[in-house]
Amino acid sequence: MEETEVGVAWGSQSPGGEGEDESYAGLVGQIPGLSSFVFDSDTPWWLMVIIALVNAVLFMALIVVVTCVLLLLFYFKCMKIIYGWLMMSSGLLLSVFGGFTFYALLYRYNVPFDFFSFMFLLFNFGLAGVVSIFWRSPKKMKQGFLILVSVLLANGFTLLPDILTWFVLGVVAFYDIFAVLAPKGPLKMIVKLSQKRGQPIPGLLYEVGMAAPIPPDEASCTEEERNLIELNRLDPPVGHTVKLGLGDFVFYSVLLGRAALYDLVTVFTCFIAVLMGLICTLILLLFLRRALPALPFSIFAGIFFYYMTRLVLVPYAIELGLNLVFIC
Amino acid sequence: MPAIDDVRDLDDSKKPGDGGSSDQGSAVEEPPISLEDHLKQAVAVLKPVALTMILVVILGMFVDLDR
Repeated sequence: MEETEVGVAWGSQSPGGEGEDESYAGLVGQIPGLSSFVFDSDTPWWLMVIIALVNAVLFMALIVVVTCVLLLLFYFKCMKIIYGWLMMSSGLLLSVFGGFTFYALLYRYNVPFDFFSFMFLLFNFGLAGVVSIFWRSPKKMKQGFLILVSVLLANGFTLLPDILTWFVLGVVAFYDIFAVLAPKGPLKMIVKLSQKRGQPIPGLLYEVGMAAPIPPDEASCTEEERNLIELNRLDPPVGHTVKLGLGDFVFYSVLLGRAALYDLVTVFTCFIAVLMGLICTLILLLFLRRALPALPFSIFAGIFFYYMTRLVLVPYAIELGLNLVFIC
Repeated sequence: MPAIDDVRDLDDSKKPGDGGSSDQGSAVEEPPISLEDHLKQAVAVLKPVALTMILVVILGMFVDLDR
């Protein structure tokens, strides 16, 4: 039975079996449960659609359960459990997916690296990430680690089969609309609770703000004030801020990662589509002044442009090229 | 996964002086942000998103070329 390209990526590895796949896909596929997504080339399209739909719904159910658990923990002020959970997941993500990526790079480019140095580096990488994200660190470092978390997770998600990726993205975008805008939507309730209590929103958020001014005259300040000013220079306090959930970064990147597996032209069109969608969301944010779902515009525009490019633009460009027609 | 403009609703029941950490720089006292500042922030949000997407594409190219 012949396997498709995706099937090879997900199904050829067998832990401990013959011919272990040392590629990134092979390594990630060894995580229990992830090696079962195999579509054979003779699988009928309708069966693939049903399987993808069921998997997408299961994925959404998982997100709903996790969001509700987070809401309950936040409601009952179990902040230590929430932050412990977030720290553990961020640390594991940086270490495990970072380790897979690093190992795959070493393997691919045939770079020798001893086991103890590898583990030492990985441990420090994960720990530094957790400390930067959840404790004090320069702002750029914190933002850098947040971006790295998104990149590693999104890169892992690109291993999902093509059709399943699109269904998951679509379903998550619809869920985002419900969760943020519905009166009893879990994310809306979390945002309301955090605003009511004056607490930060529990979760990984990328925050952009206008830096509050620092008084230039330090001569007249006391020692304590000078220390505060010095601290503020390292990590400037922010006034008005715009926050974007890290999940949005991940799903935008999954879309781009999937587009990159097809063609570079598709990458450019999807890139522009996602950014245009985000700009629309930010403009709406300016007028509505309330929490808004950041996924729908970008994801639907991205999916639309992906298929338009794949089905119309690329064949059109190839046809023009074959006939030596150049449009200036 | 919301995008949040961190200016509290004006009908928020919490008022300055009620106590708690939100009193400092409470949005109720803040002047409304100008369009220019908001656009600057929007651009500042776009940068990390674009960077993340570019990194995923580059990583995909380098890590798993035969996918």
